[in-house]
Amino acid sequence: MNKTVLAIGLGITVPLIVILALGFGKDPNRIDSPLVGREAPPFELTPVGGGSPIALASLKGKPVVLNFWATWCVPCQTEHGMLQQAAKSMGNHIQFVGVVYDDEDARIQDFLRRHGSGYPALVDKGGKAAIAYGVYGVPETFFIDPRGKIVAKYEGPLSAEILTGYVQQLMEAK
Amino acid sequence: MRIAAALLALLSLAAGPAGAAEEETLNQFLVQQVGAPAGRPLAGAELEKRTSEVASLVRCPVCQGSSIDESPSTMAQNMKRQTHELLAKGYGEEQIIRYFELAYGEFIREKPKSDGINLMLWALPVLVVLGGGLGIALSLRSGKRPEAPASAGKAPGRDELPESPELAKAVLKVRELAYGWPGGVSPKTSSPERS
Repeated sequence: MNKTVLAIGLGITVPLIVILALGFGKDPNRIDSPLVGREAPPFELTPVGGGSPIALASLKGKPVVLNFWATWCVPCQTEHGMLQQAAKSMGNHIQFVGVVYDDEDARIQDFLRRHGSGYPALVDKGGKAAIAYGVYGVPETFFIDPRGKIVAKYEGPLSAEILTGYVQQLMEAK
Repeated sequence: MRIAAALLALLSLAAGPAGAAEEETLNQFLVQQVGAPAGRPLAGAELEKRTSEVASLVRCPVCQGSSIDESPSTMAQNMKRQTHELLAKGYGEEQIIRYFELAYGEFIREKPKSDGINLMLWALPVLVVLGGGLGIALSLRSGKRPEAPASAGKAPGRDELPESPELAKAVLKVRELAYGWPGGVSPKTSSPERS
């Protein structure tokens, strides 16, 4: 075969195969967050049931586990108990914050009464905080280092093992 | 259009008025991310028209192939409402899309930008066609045989003689013996031809 033709053929097919091979290795439903490695979008949200708004800026100096959730979301219910336990055991070192997305105050209060409330649950009316964080659906959890930088994002319900792994990452970023 | 405006107003009411502190934090963040509003604040029918136009350029993050203008999902409706608010504050189309892009990535654009890796995706089919054409042209060129001389494959006439004098002499001798022509020359022609 002519060498020039072979070179042109390889020049076209090899990059295509490389691109496809890289693509096949990824979950097509997963899109990496452009926020990881950047400063966490600030927010100032009112807790469920009222009270003074809580600002992310006021939590600087401590690693933050920011969990977007809703009472109507079954996976959120699954991880809720584990997050409460984690907040109880790690609360001295890490600040857990819940942001409730697209939900009603009364339903949230009822849910927290029945399932426990170990850390602030903030209401995101209009979903602006969720949009600023590029949330696709709940549950989604962001791990923010003490300087306010997003270290990682996790989509889906957290298990104790997954949470521990991310918390270690957060502590190392300290 | 009036129905759409009424629907947006209802949605805004349903979301409830954001607290002053929440609004101020968001405003500061917006300016930090995309700069101060680049245009004039819109209102009325123009605001509704532009909301729909800009929303049609933003992909719904939780839907399959629809924009936030047409999707009924809560996320899309929230994003459309925020687009409405930002246009009313004077933010421009590119500023609004950029704000969503910073949170969701370039995926959020209904019309991807034609630079970087995207430019390669646009150019690749053209390059493949050009490369293929070049390959075929080179292949045809290298496989082409040299043209045969006009006389190739043509049998010499009975009266023609080779150019070599020795060979011509031998041919004439053979003709004399074979055909009985005196001197090997055909009786039809007075003088033998040379090829």
